[in-house]
Amino acid sequence: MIQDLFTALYRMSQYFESGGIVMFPLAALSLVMWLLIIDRVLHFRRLYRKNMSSKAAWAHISENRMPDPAHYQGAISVLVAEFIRSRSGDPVLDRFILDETVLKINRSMDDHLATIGALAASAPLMGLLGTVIGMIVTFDVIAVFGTGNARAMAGGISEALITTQTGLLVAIPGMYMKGFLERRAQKLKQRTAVIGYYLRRHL
Amino acid sequence: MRGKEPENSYFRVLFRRRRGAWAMAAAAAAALNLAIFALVPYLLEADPEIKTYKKIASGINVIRMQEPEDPEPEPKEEEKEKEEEKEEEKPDPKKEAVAKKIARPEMTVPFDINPRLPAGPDSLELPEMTTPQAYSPKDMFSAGELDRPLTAVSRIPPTYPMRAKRRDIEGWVKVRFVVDKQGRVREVTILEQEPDGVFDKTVRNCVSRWRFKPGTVAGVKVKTVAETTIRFELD
Repeated sequence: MIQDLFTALYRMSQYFESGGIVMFPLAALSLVMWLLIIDRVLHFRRLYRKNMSSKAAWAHISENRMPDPAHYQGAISVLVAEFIRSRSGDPVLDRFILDETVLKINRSMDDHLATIGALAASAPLMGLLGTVIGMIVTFDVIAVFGTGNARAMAGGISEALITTQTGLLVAIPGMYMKGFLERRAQKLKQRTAVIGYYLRRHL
Repeated sequence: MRGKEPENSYFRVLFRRRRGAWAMAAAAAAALNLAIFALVPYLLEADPEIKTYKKIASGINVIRMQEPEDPEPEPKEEEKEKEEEKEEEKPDPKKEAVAKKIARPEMTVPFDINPRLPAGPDSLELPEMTTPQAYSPKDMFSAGELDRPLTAVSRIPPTYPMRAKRRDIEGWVKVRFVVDKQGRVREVTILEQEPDGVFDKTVRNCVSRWRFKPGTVAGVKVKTVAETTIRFELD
């Protein structure tokens, strides 16, 4: 078991070595991208679960009572808490404050999605850069040894192919996750907006 | 909600959860990346090495087994009989082995072996000495029976006869000759020619000057009968 783990690590280091210099920014990019993706997944999951019903939200606001974080942690309870914290007491002004709160929460839904998209889109480009570098290495080898020495050319060619492969392997799940997160954000935004209108009518 | 520590208890809880989520995301992202990059090299895995080894081995076997061309049961029996007869003699085993190897193809040559013949070639050691026939199967092998095809050391093309050149005659000569154990050409015979009597002289002259690497059967140098067709074409 541990032996296998070490073999895998060794092969990974070999893989990185044969991929050349582009592998390191690619790995860093992948790390940041997945960090943001997982954070967003956890965040949205929390906003989905343990949500308030619209009646409970209105009850909290009318009683001016902060929601209990053990019971409620969804997007609507965040909206209620934000509103209670910043409300003025004047119903006309409170409507504007409620609108602003809804807008603020909805804007925060999109927080890192654009970054994730940009990272996922730039991963294959970085793989392409690695390909170009690998081909340049190959041509340098050809310039020295001629086309006869296939073994020497193999280094550059494998660099070219491995970076492309890695770039695509980073980009494909990244792109998928971006789409998935955008759909979730859209749903959450709709839900908050609906509750916002409901509360506005009751104020 | 974000940034500095909020005053309200609800927001404090939210803030703590946010921080926990980030820590968890960092750990999960690191683990996921490690897994992806560790598994990718296994995508390139290829291990059909053992298979190819087996294939190569069997291929060699097939080639080596082909040597006796059409083993007729009759000559084998005869060989047995002969061996039984000579059990008392006990010849040198090494020489006998070589002689057997050479002798084996002779049995397959179309040659009427009469079992009732008086003991002609008694010993297996010296089969080629006892039969002085020109194309006797004892000492002569055709080019196809050799370990490898005959290779010419020097093969000068024949000169185009002046007479034929003047008259624009083209043609061909089919010639048979014997390459002896030293690689020299002997016994040149013209088998067929077209047209008659134009090219045979020059062919005889040039073919007898050719030199070959002596042909071998099972590593032993032998005389070889070879045939070739020489074409005379004007350009």
